[in-house]
Amino acid sequence: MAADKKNWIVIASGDRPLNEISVELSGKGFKVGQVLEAIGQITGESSAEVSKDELQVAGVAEIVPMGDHIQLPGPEEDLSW
Amino acid sequence: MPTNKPKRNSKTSAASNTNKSTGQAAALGASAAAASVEDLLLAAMERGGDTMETGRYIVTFKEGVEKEGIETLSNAGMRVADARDFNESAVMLESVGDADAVVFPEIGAALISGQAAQERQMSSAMELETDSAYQSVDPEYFVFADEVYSEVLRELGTTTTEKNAGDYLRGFLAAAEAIAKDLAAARMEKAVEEADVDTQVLGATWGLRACRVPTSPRSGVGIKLAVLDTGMDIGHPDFAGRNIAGVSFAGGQPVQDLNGHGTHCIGTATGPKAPAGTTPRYGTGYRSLIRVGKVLSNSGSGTQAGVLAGMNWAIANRCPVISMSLGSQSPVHPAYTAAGQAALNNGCLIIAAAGNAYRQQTGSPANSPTIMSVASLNPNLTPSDFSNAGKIDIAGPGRDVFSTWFRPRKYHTISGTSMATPHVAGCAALWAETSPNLRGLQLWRKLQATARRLQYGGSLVGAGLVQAPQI
Repeated sequence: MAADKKNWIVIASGDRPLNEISVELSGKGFKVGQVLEAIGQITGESSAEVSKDELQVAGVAEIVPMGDHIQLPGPEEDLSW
Repeated sequence: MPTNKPKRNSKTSAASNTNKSTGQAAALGASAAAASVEDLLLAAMERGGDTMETGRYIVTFKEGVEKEGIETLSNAGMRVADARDFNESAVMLESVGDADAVVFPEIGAALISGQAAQERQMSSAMELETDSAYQSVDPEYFVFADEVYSEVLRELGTTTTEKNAGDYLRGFLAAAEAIAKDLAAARMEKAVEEADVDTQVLGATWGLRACRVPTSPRSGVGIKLAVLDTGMDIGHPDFAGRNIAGVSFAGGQPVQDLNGHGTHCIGTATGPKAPAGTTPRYGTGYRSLIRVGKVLSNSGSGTQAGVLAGMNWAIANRCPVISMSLGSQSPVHPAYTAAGQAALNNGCLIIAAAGNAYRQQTGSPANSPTIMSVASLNPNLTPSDFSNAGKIDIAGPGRDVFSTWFRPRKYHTISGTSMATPHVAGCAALWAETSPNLRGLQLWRKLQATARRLQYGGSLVGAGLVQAPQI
């Protein structure tokens, strides 16, 4: 991700179709990555100028930054995650 | 990799201006000198058998005639790359392009691609003329850098930088050891066997016995059990004939596991009732339907987006049991909590490893209240010292767990809450088989209600040691 981009996870409230939400978000400069119907979430990125509040559209319960990368210990390690 | 690009053109090198990616190297042939370890492993799997050979060969030159040896390779029509052409001779094999051979003058040896060797009928069985510059032609072997192998090398007075480098496979280094130490591989296998002797004489792993799996009448038949991890060795002989489906969310890598972690977890959760030969039973839901979500790459890394995509896939496919032996030492993440709730709402149960940060707080995603977190126990049923604490819902066997590994190794014994988690997931599949009503939160409660109580606090072992149904 470029430094001027932010990765987000949009958690839907369940009272509006995800595709409608993603269309509206796109109109606000949000680049949709994945639309995850079964868990009611949309991943994607926006420019750093777009605030979290601007993405708070109808049908969105919460917008959170993408979490940490996951890294298992190497296969040569005796202790796994 | 700018530091490993060829620094000058060699008279004999065809490797100049070649910094091939793994995929490009693969296009040159699975046993090309530039082939990645992954390409070599995939090709070895396709060939089948238990051989540790990569398909490439090592030519060792006679002392004092290394130059003639290199010329012999060139005269045989091979395109030859020279390690001296790389900065500090630190050659990256993936960067030698379409070379047929890579010579290592410092050690008087050369790596030959499988195709080049085959075309010239070079093999370990070939007759060498007395005036040949070649001392020997030997197969190159895979090596798995682990404590046992390191022990063997120490016994043999051999050193390797593999462990320090943190790399788990180095085809050429392995071969270099193999040239002089032909017995190493055989002795390694012997050491591995000895390390697992307790497991082998008892018929089932300690973990399965502790969970009362061998006496359970259940097999997990018809229950879809998803494991979100590094994939699976799809062609592993212990899973022949099983119902397996998988999807990769790991940056385009195939579901095929070249890490081992995913195959290990799947083995514990779903492995066979009676593995071949003297191998003990190590698997729980031996008739469950295996669903493989590759959310971590072969290097064991992944993004939250990939993990969420895997969770979404498993829930969309209505897998009653979803096992996740992964995470990070991070606070509760709302996206995982929401995904866990979505799972419960759809009759699925997500079971995740608490993490191995030595009694630190349970990591994410296991720390989400909607995801069942699993702590690790030792064979004497004490909490493992490495196991995290805090939000713990249940415990499973996690220390010294024997299970499947990707070929050619096939089996491995490792530790972690990662290993405890598929014990719980496997038992969950057995319970799910007992009643179609045992799904989601009902399944969660059943697992906790039937767990064996232990004399430790809930923050260490949760409800206790998971137990398989005896009904």
